[in-house]
Amino acid sequence: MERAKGTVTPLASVFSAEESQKAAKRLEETIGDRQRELNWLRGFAADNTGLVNLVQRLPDELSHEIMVPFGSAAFFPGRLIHTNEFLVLLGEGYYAERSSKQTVEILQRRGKSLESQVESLKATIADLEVEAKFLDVTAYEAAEGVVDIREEYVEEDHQGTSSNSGKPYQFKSENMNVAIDDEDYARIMARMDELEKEELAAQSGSSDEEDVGVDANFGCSISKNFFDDNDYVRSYVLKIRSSMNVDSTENQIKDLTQKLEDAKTTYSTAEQPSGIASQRVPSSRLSIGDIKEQPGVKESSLHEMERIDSRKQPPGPSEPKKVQAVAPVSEAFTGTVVERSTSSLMNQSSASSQVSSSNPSKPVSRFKMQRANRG
Amino acid sequence: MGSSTALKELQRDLEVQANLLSKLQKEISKNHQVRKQYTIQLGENELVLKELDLLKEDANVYKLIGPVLVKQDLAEANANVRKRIEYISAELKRLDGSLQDLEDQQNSKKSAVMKIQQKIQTLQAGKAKS
Repeated sequence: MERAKGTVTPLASVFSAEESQKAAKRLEETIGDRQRELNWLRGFAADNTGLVNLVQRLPDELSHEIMVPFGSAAFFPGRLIHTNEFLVLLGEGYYAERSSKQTVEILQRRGKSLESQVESLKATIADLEVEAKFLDVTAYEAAEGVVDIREEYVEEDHQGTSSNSGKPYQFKSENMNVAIDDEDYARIMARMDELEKEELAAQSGSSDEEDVGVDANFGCSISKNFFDDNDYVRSYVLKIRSSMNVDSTENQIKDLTQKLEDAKTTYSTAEQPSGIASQRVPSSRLSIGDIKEQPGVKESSLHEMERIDSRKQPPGPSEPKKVQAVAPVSEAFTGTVVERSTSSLMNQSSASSQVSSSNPSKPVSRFKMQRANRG
Repeated sequence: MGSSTALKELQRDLEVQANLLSKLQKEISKNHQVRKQYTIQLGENELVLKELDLLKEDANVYKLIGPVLVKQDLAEANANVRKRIEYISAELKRLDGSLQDLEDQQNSKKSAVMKIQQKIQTLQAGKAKS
């Protein structure tokens, strides 16, 4: 059985841009014609209502003094008598003698038929407009190079009932949503739990890079777990926080730098034998850039810490990592972890695609390495 | 130079067929116009019939014939209008039939023209090769 295979057809090959534009233009012209017709009909309707008013008013008086048109240019005074007698053209050359009231009835019937014509014309115009809009959009999309992706949804084999529904879905994500039944759901959740555990273990005693990775995969719920379960990081964070809130006393700074030192050693030892160093370095650099973009307190605290670093110990090649190890975690504690992580994730993914082609998160291997280092 | 004379013949043929085709198209468009007119007249007559039906027996009905209004019996007018409607409906039906016919002819002519064009193309291609 075939695995789900999609077909990708550029929209331009189905509807060429020029053709649809031409069609749209033609439609516009038709719409214009119809619009003119509609205006014409509306004119008739207005005339009709005017006539109805006049006919209703005429029999109010026995006679009316009027100017009678004589030819196209001249008028002479005259008088309308028999104001309740009308000769009404019914159409096709037939006339009927009617009273004012009867005439009004005829005119109103005519007005109704006019109205229905107007309505139908309006509906036609609306239809045409929708069509024209569609064609316009199609032309635009074809010009833009939009592609139509169709994928047959094939149910997983483990169900046994692998029936090919044969129904094409526009997007894959859509058919994923449709497809998940209970069994699948349970399986996926189990897998998620597994991954979460691995991520948590991998993160203990380490920095934000994994944090970023976690967020990439699972979102904020894991970050919460991460801080709940992980005492080491928590104490770490608390200290940093206090140093941020209170004007950092010498003791706290010492403590902090000590921690930083620890972190640095953890890092460097973790990194020395690792094959993913090339992946880490660019991402950490990136994180620093990220942090510096953050305004206000965080930035100042970051600078402060950098200063502390340079005071207490000679600047090493791994200094950026220390700073980076601290600041994002502190931010994480202030509750901005999800937002920041995703933003840095976005940066990271784009940067990692530029700088190094390796996968941004490799939780399992990292975990193993760090456990080996610690134990 | 057998091929060139054949080509010329084909081209003449094509011209003739194309002329016939355009004539057919003209006829079709004429048919459409006439039909439109008849449809409008049918609508008008139906309206008249409705109004006549609503009139009372003693109402005066006139028919405009040329410049004069001629008084007519209501029943007579009614019958006339009905007859007229019948005639128009029959005419419309006839026009529909002829339109169908014309369209069939047009399609066959179109395919004939296409065939001749293809022949000309193949001939030209063969000429270019040789």
